[in-house]
Amino acid sequence: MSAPAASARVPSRPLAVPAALDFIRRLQAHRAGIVGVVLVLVVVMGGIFAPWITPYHPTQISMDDALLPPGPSHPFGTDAFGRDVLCRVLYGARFSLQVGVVSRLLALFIGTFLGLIAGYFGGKTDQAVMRLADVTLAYPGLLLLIAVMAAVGPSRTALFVSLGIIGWAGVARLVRAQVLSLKEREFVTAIRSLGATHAAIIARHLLPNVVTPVLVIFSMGLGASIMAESSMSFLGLGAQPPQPSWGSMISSGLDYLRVAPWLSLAPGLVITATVLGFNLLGDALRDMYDPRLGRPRR
Amino acid sequence: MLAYTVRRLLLFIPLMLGVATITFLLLHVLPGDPVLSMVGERYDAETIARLRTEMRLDAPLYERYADYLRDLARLDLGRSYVTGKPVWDSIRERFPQTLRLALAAMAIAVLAGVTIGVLAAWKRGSPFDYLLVGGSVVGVSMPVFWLGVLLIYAFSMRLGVLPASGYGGGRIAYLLLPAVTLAAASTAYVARITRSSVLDEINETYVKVARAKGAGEPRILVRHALRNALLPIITVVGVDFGSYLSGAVLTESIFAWPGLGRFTLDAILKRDLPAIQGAVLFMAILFMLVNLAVDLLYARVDPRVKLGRSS
Repeated sequence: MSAPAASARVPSRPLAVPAALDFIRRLQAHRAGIVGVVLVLVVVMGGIFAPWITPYHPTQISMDDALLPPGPSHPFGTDAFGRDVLCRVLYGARFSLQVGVVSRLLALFIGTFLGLIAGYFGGKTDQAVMRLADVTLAYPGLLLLIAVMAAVGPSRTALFVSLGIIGWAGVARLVRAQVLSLKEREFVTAIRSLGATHAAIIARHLLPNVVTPVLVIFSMGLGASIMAESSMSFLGLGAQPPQPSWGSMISSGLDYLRVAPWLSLAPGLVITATVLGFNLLGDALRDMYDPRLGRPRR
Repeated sequence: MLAYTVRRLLLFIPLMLGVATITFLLLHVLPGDPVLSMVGERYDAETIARLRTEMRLDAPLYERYADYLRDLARLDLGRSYVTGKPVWDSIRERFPQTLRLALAAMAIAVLAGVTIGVLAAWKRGSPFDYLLVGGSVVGVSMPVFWLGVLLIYAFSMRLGVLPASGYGGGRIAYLLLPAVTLAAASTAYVARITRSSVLDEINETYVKVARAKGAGEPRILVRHALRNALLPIITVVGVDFGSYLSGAVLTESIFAWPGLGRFTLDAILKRDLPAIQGAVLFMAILFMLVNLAVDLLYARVDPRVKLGRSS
């Protein structure tokens, strides 16, 4: 076990290889985690190598090939404009992953920063941050997201920002809880008595100790972000045509559900597989690195 | 108990004010001109100026905010830009349909979820158990709107046994697919919670005593273990009920269900600012109220819950 030492620092570059080996070793014992990793890898690779995997272009219209059923040259069939569905699903992966990763990173930065500050300084700062988090979390499900997207208008940047703004509160709560118990520990008291500044204590001693739980919820949150993005795109509040995205593919396929069900079925299957992959991976990471996630450490 | 209730109610007020403020700020401060998107093609300076004055967009932000809070206190959510009707009236008109869908979904989630969960706990380690655990993991990863599409495809288009969308004057056939769609994720969750809570209880002494007295396994599970596992189930269902009442935007829009979710989406697509604001606020507060009720109920049902030490 590599339990974080009292003054653990950020794993720096030379540690990347052992960390990867350690990850693989732990993963071997976790069957659901392996399924998750495989699903995530397939989707990520599909998105990255989309231009090399498919001979088609996601927005190339070819009316002669409209609504072809799945077959050798079009494994997922074609849509009403003769566009290859597999190709659009692959490019949709790019979009969804991009939105997911960027918005989660944003949530992570805001949440970690505010959580550190709230936990470390306590008092009024803590009150202000946590009450704001309460209000953010008081909105049910997608409602806050819908309201933000309605206000700003649908665009990729709007998705990044609104998903990020919404995700921060959960991260902040988690980080704050960790910091609350960390800051009473001997190593923090010791360096404080040595005259370390607040900024130095937070950045060099508290931050490294919250990295692991934060990475775990990063993976769990990615699935949720991708689900939220496709829901928004499905409602017409996310990706705008001709941008291929899974949610909007499902909604535009609804008009042809009777004659060409593959238009809606294929992207939905891919969303399910992707979200499932990130959920399983997140669960595995939690089991492997931080079984007590969410509770303050002693 | 009384002190706890009072404290929770007092805490509720600032939270509600916070939600009201954030909703206001979102729609009034963020970029995007409601007037321009309203007039759209019919762009002429006079109309725009008139609308601006009517909508009080020229007034400073704090004045609009003060007006907003004052109206809110009188349950006045303003008038829709599109229909001219008071938003509060539209919400009251739409809410019964949403409530009906939510109640149906909750009934399904509880009945199906608890039954499946108890069966899985009874046959633990069997293929059925594995199927349930696997199915519930996949179930929560499945987008609700896609599940709706699948059900429409299977039951309306292929089998032709159920209507694909609409309210159908309240006939039960129209309620089935939307309710099942909405209930699916909670059913999976309730089943999982039921299974694990029942399994937790199985090792308790009182269960062993019942078994020693010669009670059959199903009787032990239902009469003894399940009864004590009800608490976590209530919590899960309660929280989900709150989000059914408010978050059914996706389900209602797939099935063209004339409830609040559909109303909100229509308002957004038409950029009907007062309607969006009113609906979002109404649903958020409803959601918070249901959560509060669940918490209070929880504390009342289980004396072991340590009151007032929530955070």
